[in-house]
Amino acid sequence: MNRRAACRALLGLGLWAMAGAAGAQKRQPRRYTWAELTATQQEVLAPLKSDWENLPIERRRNWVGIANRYPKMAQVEQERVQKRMQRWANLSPEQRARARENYRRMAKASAEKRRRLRQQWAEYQAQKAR
Amino acid sequence: MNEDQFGSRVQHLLDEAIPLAPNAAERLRAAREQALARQRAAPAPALQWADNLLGSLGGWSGMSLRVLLPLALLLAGLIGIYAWQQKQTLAEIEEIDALLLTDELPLDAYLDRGFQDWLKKRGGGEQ
Repeated sequence: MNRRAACRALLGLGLWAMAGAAGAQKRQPRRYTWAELTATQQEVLAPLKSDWENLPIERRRNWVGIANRYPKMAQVEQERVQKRMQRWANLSPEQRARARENYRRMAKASAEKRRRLRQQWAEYQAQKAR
Repeated sequence: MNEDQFGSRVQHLLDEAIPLAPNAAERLRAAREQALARQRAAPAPALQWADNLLGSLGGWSGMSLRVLLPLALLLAGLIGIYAWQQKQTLAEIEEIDALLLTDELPLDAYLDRGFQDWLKKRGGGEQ
């Protein structure tokens, strides 16, 4: 009988652990609607406002994360974010994935190579225009 | 005469309902009882195997303790790892997106296949 009780307790513990793990994923019921955002987040993400509700929740969460990093960025970086935000949001998931992949690969290059990259981009642009 | 032939001969004789001596009938009944008892003692091999396995695990209550509990914990662990990985992936994507949006180079530098190819060709394998 003792053993049976111990067995039940352990089984209960196991089930509780499982429920806990499953619950961890569902603990964020936030839907990241525009109204839910803070005033600062809304200000940063203003370029996306018109299309916000059409974005999938994980994209919205991604943008909220970027909005939270925004105050810590240099001014020139903030300007770039504002300028690129809409374009980035309107790309297809495949295009974004490709850009991330290219970034990862190029970010691995040495600092020297990364510095040259800017010049190379200008060269490439000039060649293409010709 | 082999066993089968002997069997069918006995069956034939029995079917004919030849009256048996009382002691022969008694001996037949005892033999039948014995055979049935032996059959009952030996369950089907598969059943016997399952029974042995269960017995070695400590019966049904032991089964839930030694098999179901680790299984439940394993499942909980897997779900936990999966959730953690999802979170890591999302965090990594956010990180890279933030870098892309603030990078010196415009988005097009990372989107333009032509530039990527041009770099590869120009780099002559150093990329």
